[in-house]
Amino acid sequence: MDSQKERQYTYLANQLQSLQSNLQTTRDELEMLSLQCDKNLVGQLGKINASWFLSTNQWLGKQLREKDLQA
Amino acid sequence: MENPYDKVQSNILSRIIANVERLNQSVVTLNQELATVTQKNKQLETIGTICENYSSSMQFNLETTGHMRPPNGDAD
Repeated sequence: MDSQKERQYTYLANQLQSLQSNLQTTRDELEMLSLQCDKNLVGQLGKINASWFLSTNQWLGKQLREKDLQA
Repeated sequence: MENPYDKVQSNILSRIIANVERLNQSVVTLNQELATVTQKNKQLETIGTICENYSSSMQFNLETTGHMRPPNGDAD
């Protein structure tokens, strides 16, 4: 019984060690993901496309109003 | 004399080990998926850089040719 328990505890220790290293990897990946989202998705794509969309919308609205006034 | 809780303890230990093993496998899968997401985000990074370059060159163009309008276009 004792040897079996020892084996189980050794296996558990190994598993916990690899779990620790896996969680460290997850942490690194999430940090990378957060940096990418902040810089590329929000900073570049989000802000720039939002400003393009707003200005285009305003311009189109203005064109339509002018067309209506002419008609 | 045999410890009466020995069997219970052994069973619990087995369950703990099985659960830790499953958790480990899940974390490995999560890591793989995160790596895939990071890889895909690299392409978005390229698109973002392209948009940024286009925006700044367009801004420079508008400023140089004098076609730049103030933010509130209805005012003029």
